[in-house]
Amino acid sequence: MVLDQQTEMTRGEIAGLLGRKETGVLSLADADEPYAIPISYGYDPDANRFYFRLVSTPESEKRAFLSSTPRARIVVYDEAEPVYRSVVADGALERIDPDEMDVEHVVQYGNARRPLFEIWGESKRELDILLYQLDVESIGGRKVELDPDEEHD
Amino acid sequence: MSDPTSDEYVFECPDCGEHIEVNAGMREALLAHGCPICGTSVTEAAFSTPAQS
Repeated sequence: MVLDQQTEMTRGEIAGLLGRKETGVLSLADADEPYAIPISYGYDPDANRFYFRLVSTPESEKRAFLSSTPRARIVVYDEAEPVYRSVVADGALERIDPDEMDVEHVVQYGNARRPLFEIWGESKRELDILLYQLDVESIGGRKVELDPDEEHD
Repeated sequence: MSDPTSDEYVFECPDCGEHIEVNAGMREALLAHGCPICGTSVTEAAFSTPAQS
């Protein structure tokens, strides 16, 4: 396979991809132990901030990582041949207290409304649904365009 | 004009049971965008005034 060109995405292209997509992968770490999960998110390009929900139980593996690592990475990608795009954002995780939410939070969580990966088999009242935001500290995107004339064997 | 920061309603999500004291602006946002905790749609029946709750 010949990669025709790989280029950095502009801030506008990054915002466009993050607004168009609604799922990504959240990665956490505890020392040398990795943890990554698919999430549904909302993204505010003006604040450069992600919003998402994490569903856990007190005994869950997820809870252990959240308590130990405020730093996180979100990866969002789009494979719409012939152009493949990916965005990687690093930042600090912050839990949002429901009593301290404002209108902007409600709007953003409305954008992250569909729990496409969070498995809610139990009654929602029995789940511990926590709200988080990730303030982006560094972000970058790349896109690769395949050669349309390349023959696929 | 009333104080926009004052709590005037109690929101109780019919699906996840979350309780939040909200002002009028938050009430409108919840009606438009759903419960921020669980994503379920919200109707006016989910709101009461503190005296009613």
